Amino acid sequence: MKLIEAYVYEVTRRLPKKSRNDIALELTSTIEDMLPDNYSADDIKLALEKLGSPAHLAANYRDEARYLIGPSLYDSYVDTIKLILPWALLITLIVQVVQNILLLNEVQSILAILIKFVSFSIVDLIMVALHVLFWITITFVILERSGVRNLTVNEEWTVEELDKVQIIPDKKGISIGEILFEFGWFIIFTICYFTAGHFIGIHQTTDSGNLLFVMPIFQQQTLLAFAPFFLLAIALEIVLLLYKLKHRVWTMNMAIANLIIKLISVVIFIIIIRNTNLINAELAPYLANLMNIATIKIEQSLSYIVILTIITIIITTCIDIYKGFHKAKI
Amino acid sequence: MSSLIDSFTIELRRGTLTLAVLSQLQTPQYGYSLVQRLEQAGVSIEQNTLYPLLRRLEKQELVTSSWDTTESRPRKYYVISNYGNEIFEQLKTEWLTLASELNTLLQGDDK
Repeated sequence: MKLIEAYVYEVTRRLPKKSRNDIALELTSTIEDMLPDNYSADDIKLALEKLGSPAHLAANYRDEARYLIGPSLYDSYVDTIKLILPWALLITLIVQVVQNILLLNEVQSILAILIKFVSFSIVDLIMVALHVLFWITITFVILERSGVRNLTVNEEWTVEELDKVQIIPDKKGISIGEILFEFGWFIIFTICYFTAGHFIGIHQTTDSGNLLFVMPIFQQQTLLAFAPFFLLAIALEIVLLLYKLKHRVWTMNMAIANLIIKLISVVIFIIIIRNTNLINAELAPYLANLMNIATIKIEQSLSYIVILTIITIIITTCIDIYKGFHKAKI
Repeated sequence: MSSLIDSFTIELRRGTLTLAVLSQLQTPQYGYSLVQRLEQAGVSIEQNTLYPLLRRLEKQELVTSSWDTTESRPRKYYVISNYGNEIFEQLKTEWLTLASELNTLLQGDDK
């Protein structure tokens, strides 16, 4: 008797509360029906074996299978990971390399630095990979639960509905992965913008082996002064993303909106980066002292970097705007 | 090889289960009596598929159920509804057409 109770419990605890009692009663009477008149424990075992695993039985009772990430989202889940993971790892690696170059002022054997670099990099890469996988999974689980893409099948179908069907060529479509990728960038960018004064800068290892933040590269006050413009650009970009999320395909209107918003963003970006107070005034003398060259040379190369950055941004933006129109025309 | 045949067979049978179950519910049946009737007719159906199927059919209003508590052991009886009967008749026609069409095809292959 205890076996039957345990079996029924194992099935019903996996089911919604409201149907538990009824199913428990029915299942119990069914199991008893299966048993001969004077049954033994072995008879019970035989009957339960015939019913199969409680989890399986419970799954059959459920109307829809439960997925962490269901079949309708699984492909974009994998695509998103493939899109974001390599970038995240690459960026981590670059940050590591830059950090290690900035740390090179200490007298250390190249081998020791190399070993430290490799071991730190591996740990960091694993951590970043885990983070990326974790957050993408969480995002998709929420998408799955909220039923964003619950495929509803029309009961009555008429040929007229075919008129409404939009066949989207692969090259014209905008994948969810793409949108999430951009969205992630905006978040990272915004966080960096507002916290740059605290961690984007020159670090040094102290004698005790801790990292010491020597000085920021950017002037946080200048960044904050431009914050309204920055936020305006980010807000426009996010509106564009939502627009993309809604339509999921490039249209002429979207390409025009993309053109306008990207131009505004670039102008704001150039205004911010061209500001003479953006870069910490103490940076050039510090680096000059460190590398034993004239301050003026460092200042020169800093302005080269600024110009190079502006050119890069303008070129990538032009490519982006062109792509929008190109895809809209397909 | 045999697992492939198994999965094909399961797939072939799955669609016919509803028809088989509905055909036996012209008179009220409880779960286990239904299993026995089907087994006697040679239709093997896993019990862990059958009981959930009965509930689903009830939810779709093809069958109705009632608890019989007059005997020492309470039992839940299922019986086909009017709506269920309509569906059953249509399904039956579908099945017979399909079966004869397929027969023609398969016999044509033999020749």
